[in-house]
Amino acid sequence: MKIIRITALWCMSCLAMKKIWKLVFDSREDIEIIDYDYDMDFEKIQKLNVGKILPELIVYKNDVEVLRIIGEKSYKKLAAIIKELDEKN
Amino acid sequence: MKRIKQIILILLLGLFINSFFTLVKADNNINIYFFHSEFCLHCQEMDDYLDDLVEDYDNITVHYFEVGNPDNMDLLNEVADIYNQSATVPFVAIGGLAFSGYNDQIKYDMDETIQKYTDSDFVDITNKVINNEEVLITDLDTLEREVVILPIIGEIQIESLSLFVSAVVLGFVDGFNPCAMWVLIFLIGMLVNMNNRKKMWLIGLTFLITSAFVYFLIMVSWLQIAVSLTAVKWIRYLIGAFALIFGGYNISKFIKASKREDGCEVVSDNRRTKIIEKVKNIIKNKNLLLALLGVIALAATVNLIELACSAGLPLLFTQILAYNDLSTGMYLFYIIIYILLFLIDDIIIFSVAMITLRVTGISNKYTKYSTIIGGIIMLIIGVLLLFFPNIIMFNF
Repeated sequence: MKIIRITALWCMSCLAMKKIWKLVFDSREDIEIIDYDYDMDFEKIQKLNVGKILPELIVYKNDVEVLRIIGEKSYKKLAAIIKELDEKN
Repeated sequence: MKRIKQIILILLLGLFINSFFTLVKADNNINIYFFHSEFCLHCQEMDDYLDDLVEDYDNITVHYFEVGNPDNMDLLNEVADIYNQSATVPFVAIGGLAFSGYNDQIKYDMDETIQKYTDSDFVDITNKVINNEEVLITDLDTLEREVVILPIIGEIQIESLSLFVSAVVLGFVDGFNPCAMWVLIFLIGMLVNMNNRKKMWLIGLTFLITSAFVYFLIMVSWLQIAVSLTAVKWIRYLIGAFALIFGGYNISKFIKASKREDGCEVVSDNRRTKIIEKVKNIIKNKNLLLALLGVIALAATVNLIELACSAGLPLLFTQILAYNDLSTGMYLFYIIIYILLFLIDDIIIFSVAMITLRVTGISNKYTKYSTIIGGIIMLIIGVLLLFFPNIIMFNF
């Protein structure tokens, strides 16, 4: 599984989510995370059709986009989403 | 008919007799019942204070009850229960009021009570208890406080306290307004990657102080205009209508935000890009003085640009101040309190980031809730300005 994580330095929600991402993703070596900054990597993300709410996580399986996780999520909710994705494998 | 007349007569007579036995006439002696213990430090302080009162007032008599005596302890339990207070010493009962504990507020309230009972009738509840008379709920009294005594701050008028609380509440709620906060967060994000701690603190603090100063200047200007226009009735209606519209807008913003995911809304790419470029240049600048001048210009610009977004609460607060006739010093004091509370979340985020070198964020949920709280407050102020201006002036 690969996740493109789009955040911004000025975005409070992105900062608030850091802890939750750490809890959910740090133990998952099978998930590759690529970080893009909304402003610094603007050219790279243009083709990704990113929406107007940050943070945005674009989830790929076998290089096919399967889900977009938009905005703040609780640990419970994010863990459930990832678990559901695992089970679909 | 004859029977009804008899009942009314008996009731009136009963009331008359009752008042004769329980009401103490003005200028009569005021009994103070002091429950104390030889082992309690505050009891000694209360004892000294009562001595002072005896010197000041010639119409008071202090009755002492040492609670080491079981009879006195029983009386204290009974009396405290009637006053709905804890039976702890020092305990002082005066007429329909009782005071448990010892502090400046209690001293002030006791003095007020004596002055009040010197000029008006009251029921001596403890005397009734001692004489085994029935105590009525209406015998209990309340003290309308005009002054409260706060720790450190000292004596403060209730009217001033209302303004103080308004400044604290409105400033705090306004502080969560995200309008200019994103710039601070971006600045902090860039600063934590610097190796120069001194420069980090200087740049960050300069941003915060300039933001506070700009906000202060804006509020003082509004206040000056508002004070000069307080006599113009339609201005009050205009500001009231503005408060209702702004409050309604905030509530609709909250409803919209509730329907979408919690997160940061990306708005105005052009303006954001320009500000981000400015921040980057400030951070890159090796000349500290130029970097500080840059950050001052940035903070001033950002706060002025974002004014349209965050104008509601500060404008209404200055309006509330204007309707209260205060000295210039007090006007400035309340504006400073407002701004301090407005900046408190920024100061916390900045300080934590500078100490831990980690930027922490506040969930967007809190920003969302501040929008609805701010909206409701604005609606209330709007209604008060339009229909109950006396409350805004804290003339209850």
